[in-house]
Formats: sequence, structure tokens, C-alpha cells
Amino acid sequence: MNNYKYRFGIWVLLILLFGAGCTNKSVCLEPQSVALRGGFYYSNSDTSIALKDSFLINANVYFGQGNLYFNNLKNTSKFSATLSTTNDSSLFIFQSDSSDFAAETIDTIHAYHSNELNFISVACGYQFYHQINKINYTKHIIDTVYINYTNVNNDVNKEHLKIVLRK
Amino acid sequence: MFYVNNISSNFLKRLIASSILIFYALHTDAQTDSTKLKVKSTDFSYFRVGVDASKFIASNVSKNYEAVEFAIDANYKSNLILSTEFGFGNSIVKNEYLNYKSNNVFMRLGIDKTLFNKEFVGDMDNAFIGIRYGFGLVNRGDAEYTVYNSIYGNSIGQIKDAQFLTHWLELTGGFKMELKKNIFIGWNIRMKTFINPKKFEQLPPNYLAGYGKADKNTAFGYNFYLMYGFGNRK
Repeated sequence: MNNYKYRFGIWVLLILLFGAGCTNKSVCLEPQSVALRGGFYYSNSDTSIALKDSFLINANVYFGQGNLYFNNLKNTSKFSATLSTTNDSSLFIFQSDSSDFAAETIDTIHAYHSNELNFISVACGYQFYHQINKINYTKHIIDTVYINYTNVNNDVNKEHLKIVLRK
Repeated sequence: MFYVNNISSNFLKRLIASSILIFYALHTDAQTDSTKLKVKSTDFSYFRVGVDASKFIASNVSKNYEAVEFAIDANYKSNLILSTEFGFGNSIVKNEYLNYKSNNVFMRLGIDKTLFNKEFVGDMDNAFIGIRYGFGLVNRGDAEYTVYNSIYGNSIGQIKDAQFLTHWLELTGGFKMELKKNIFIGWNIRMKTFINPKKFEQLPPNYLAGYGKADKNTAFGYNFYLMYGFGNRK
């Protein structure tokens, strides 16, 4: 046997044995939940749906089981919140002024949706995507709620609900 | 997803183009050899059977999979080796999000071309490059999943078991050397790509024996064979 071939083979053997001992551990870096995104608007006219962003001074959007979680919206017109993965409807409570608990300043938005499993990866498992089927809402402060995009998924550039407020 | 599929598609095209070039090279080279040397060689002259020792080591080191691979090859003409590799394995995915087991059997068929001339009669040490077509039958057991959601509560569910056939192509290169008479060691590295990657879009096995990490459309692997040879050494 040729010496150079022998040395070549031994070096490769050592490298392969080292490689065999290495394990490639998968780590999950992706969130398991997706968020519904909404925006608040004022209507520019009574006849068309030309909308103008409505910056809220200090509002709250309550959501989650028992509505224990909330987003405080200060000088913003956008919000995001997760939808229920265990039920086919989610309730949002919109408090137009965080310091005012009068009933006429508060609206509820009921989103009816279907939940669909979406595989992420072996490391992260599954997440739920949603499809919004129907929206019910009260009309104290809110004038109209439009479903802009029905599919709630990993696309963070989509605004799913457009909430038009009364002037 | 489109981006991943596009990469896979481009890779597949390059792989097929490379394979055609290799076959062309094999064909023209074989013709040249036969005219130059005018050696009357038997079609199948020398055979080797072996087992992949690296998989024994890796199976013992890894907690997630076990695999066994065997190889049979035959020298064909002067510089070609027909190769069959087969084996089986099992793997487990067990983390906070998923829990399922899978097992598979596989076979790879292909051809290698040796790169160096023989330095003496009966010289069996040589480097090679080759291509493989691999296929495997995969069984995945019931999968349990947990989707964590601190706001609305966790969702726990089960996805039923599944069986499917998978195919892949490989480019390989390596070295075989004779340690003692008729006793060989051989190593190779492999680049592989699925022909039907959609089968593994959901719940891929943690390790697919014969392929490797099944959640990758393109995978790299290696073997280290211990082999016994017999036949005509000319």
C-alpha cells in the first residue's frame, strides 16, 4: 500500500469520527403565535370609505381569556393582539379613553374565526393561523369595522381590521 | 416557501446537469481506456460488501436516532464501480412542542468512477466520484403537539400516523483503500437533494436513514465503510 494513501485515509478517518460525534441541536427562534393587526380611522366623507388615520391619545384594547391583557394605545392608530387558539371567537374591548369607564366610551368587537394548524419546524412545532369570518361590534364610539384581510398569518404587513370611529 | 422551493429547484437543475456531465465523462473515458489498453476485462470482476462504521458510532452518541447502513459494490470494467447501499433506522423528535417517532428503510443505487490509474496489478486503492438515486419507505407514528399560548391557554393535539415513499439524488466522492488483503476501509461525503420535498413539509423525521436531516431539502452526509472484498483482482 502507498504511504501517502494510508496517511490520507487516516486523516480522513479522524475527521469523520470527529464529525460523527457532533450533534446539530435545533433551536426554535420563531414565535408560535401570530397577531391580528388593526388600525383606527376617521371617515373623510359620509359617502365613501376614504379613511384618515385616527391617532388615539390614550386608549386601551383589552383581549385574552377573561380580557386580562390589554394594549395601551398612546398617540398611535395601530394595535395588534392574538386571537384565541382554543375557541372560534375572540372578544376585544375598546376603551377609547383609558381614564373613562363610562359605558358610552367603550365598545366591544367580537371576531369570529376559524383556526388552522401551520407547521413551523421540528424545533418550533406548530402554530395557529386564523381566518376571520365575521365581525360583530357595538357602536358607541365605533362607526364601522371593515375586514381588510381575512387571513391572519405570519405576514406582518397586513392590517386585518380597519376600525372607523365616529367623529 | 417559494424562495426555498426556488433554491431547491435550482439546485436540482445543477445536480442533473452535473450528473449528465459525469455520465458523459464516464462514457468517453471508458471508450478511450478500452481503445488504448486493449484489455479484455470481465464486466464484473471484483466485489465488496461492507457496513458503515460511522453510523454505529453516531447512533450511540446521538439520543435522537439510530441507523444501520450496508454497502455492496462491484468493479465494472476498468474504472467503474456499481454500488448498492441499503439500511434502516429510526429517530425520535421529543421537545416541548412535538413528540413523535419515525422509522424507515432505504436503498441507494448508483455508479462511481475511479479517478486514479492502478499503480500495480491488483491495486485497489482509489478515489472516486459518483451519483446515486435513493429511495426510502418512511413510517411516522402519531405525533403529539403543544402550541403554547399564555393569553388564551395552551392547545394540545395529536396528528395521525403516516406512511410515505421518498426519493432523492446524491452526488458523492470519496476514497477506498485496502488495509490488508481483501479488507478495505472507505469513506465518502455526499450531497443530497429530495426529488419530492413536499412529503416532508410537515413533521419530517428527525433523521432519515440514508438521507440525514429530513427537514432540509439539501443535506450533506458521510459514510465510513469497513468492507470485505472478493473476486478477480485484475
